[in-house]
Amino acid sequence: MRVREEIQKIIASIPQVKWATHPKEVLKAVPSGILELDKALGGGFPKGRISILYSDGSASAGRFSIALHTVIKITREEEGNVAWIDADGSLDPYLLKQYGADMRRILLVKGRIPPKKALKVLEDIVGCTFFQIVVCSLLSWKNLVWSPSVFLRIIKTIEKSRVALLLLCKQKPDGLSSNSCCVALPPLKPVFDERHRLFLGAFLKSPKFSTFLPYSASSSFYLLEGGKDG
Amino acid sequence: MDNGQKEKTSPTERPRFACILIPSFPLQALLRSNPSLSQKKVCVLDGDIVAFCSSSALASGIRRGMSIAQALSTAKDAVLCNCPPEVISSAQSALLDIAFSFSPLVEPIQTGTVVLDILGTQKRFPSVFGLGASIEAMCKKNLFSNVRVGIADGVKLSIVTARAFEGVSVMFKGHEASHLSKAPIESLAPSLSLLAIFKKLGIHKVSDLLRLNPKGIGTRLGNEALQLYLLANGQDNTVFNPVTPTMTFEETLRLDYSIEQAEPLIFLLGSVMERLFIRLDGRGFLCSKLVLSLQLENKGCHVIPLELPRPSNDIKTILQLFKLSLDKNPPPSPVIGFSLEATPAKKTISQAHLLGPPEPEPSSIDTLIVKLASIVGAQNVGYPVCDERKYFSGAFFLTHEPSDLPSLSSEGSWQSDKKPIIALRKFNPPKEISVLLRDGVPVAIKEGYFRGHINQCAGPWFMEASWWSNEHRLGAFYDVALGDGRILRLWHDLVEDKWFIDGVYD
Repeated sequence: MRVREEIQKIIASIPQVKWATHPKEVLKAVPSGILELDKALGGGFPKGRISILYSDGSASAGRFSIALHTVIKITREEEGNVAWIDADGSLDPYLLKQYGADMRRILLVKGRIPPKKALKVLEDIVGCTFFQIVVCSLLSWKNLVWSPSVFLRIIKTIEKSRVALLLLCKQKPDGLSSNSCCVALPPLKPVFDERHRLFLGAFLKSPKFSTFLPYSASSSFYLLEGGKDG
Repeated sequence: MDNGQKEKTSPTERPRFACILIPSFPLQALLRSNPSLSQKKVCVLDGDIVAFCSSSALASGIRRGMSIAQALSTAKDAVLCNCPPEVISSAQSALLDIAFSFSPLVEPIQTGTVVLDILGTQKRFPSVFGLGASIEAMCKKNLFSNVRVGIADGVKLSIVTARAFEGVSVMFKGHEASHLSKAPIESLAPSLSLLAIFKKLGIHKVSDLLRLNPKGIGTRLGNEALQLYLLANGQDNTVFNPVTPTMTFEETLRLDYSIEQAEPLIFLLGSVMERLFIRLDGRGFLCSKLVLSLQLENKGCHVIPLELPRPSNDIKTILQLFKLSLDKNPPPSPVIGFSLEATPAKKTISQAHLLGPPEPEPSSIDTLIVKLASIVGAQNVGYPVCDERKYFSGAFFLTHEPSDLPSLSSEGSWQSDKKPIIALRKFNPPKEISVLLRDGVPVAIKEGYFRGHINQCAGPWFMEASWWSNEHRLGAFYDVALGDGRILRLWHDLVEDKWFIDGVYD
């Protein structure tokens, strides 16, 4: 009994050790290549999370431009691999190439893919650690028809694979978890040169950031050719 | 004991040859082809006589040499069948593949027996017993349940030791006589007449033969007996004749019944494919193409080729692709058997960065492409390659392998400090609209989702393309801003005088 009491005394004399709380995980981010947006997002689109770009009222909101820029930035500067699920057949790889994307680093899944198939494709791709970012363009769909459990499944997969998933949607989807990164984009503000009757570009403005987007290469490509006559 | 003798008797010298022997080969080939028979009393016939019988058939009292009637009267539920030659040929190819997975120098001795040169395997297998155990495990993985591996310093010696002992047996140089002393005399494979003489003389074991005077053997029993005596003493001068590795991978299944639906066929195909892929994997290959030949009840043959976008061994995905092919192109009559042939392809190898982060296995991206192709079709997945000549129709195509050529864009226009651009989201196909014109310039879109007044309009920019072909396009582009903020690119087809929305700036 004495021995036990002695041991208990010794244990009692040891100052209580408190475990330090686990440091809050800092998520790595995939930069978009648009400085103002990256600042607003804290570095870019977070890895292991779903980021959603959706329009706040117009078909011209700048979602596609941001996604395109991210792809160009990742493939060209970061030497990363990108998967683009083009469920509405709207991607013009010519534009990507013209603006310097490394086409060998872009895996494209194209065609009019119905929601169920798109989900299968997405789950297969985000499970592969090969990609830094996966862009899924769902702009032809009126609304995302995936249930919250589907989103949960996707989130669990990308948390493991550490892929940044970027969804381009018409509207904010229902059933998203609170830790998803949602960026609502208001309509673009076009800048028009009345004298020469030319679009110079458009302002991409949101409450958190603002930037000016000049016209894309594909328009300047024919602009240069026919501009003189026009 | 002098040095020479010490060397001779030392068991440290590594033998050079290994023999893989599959006893009752036709029976094991049949069980390998149809694993569901393994629990049954199976007898393989040679004409009307039982040639080989499984352990459960032996336990029920069936013996080799019985007639069909005798076997059935002994066990009513016995399965008596012939082993089709293509099943034996598949099993023999599998055995050769096992041997080739350990050594590039392999000689097939007869069906069910191969000898391989194991010189140079000591780094991978420091112990010959370990090598033997690995060969045995590989055979079991390839569904050969009973395997004998004999390792010795000569071709014939390795065969003899494999015949004589079960499991893995190693005969070291200089210890041949002592090693074979307990072996039955049949393991030396004497001719039937010589075997009869041996039996008459009471020579039942190799040790009995070794006790005889070699001079007397030559004069009384002939040259064959003398050669066997020398062989049992470790003198083997057999020349090793290796063959070139075969690149044919085929597995066959014959059924006693017919299949009319895709589901059971896919199920059976899965097990056959598994066997085939184990063989490919053993040789370090993936599969790039598969040809499924279905044997039909009406004696016809229905062939389904399947070209994989990238080499893969993902059975689940490949079965999915076969299911899609079977749905598209079903066999015209019930199936009574099939053979599956695979074209091997080398695994993709990539150079990892010394200081960069670890990259995933290159085969994982190949498997992913095959998986995606099974969902959306092979033509809809891949790496985009722009076709400069066809801007309007099919401006790009997809390849399943990233091009080795540097992208043209590498000289391109991207600079990190470059301002972002506004990109066009194309409509595929372009949406036809009707517009209201004033002085030839569009001022409003009349109907549909994009209906509205045009606030600003830039253009026209005229364009003519593919004038040398049937896809001749002539027209003009306009950029228009609608009142609600949408910015569209319109295409005015001057040939047909139609207006289209080419895309939206987004």
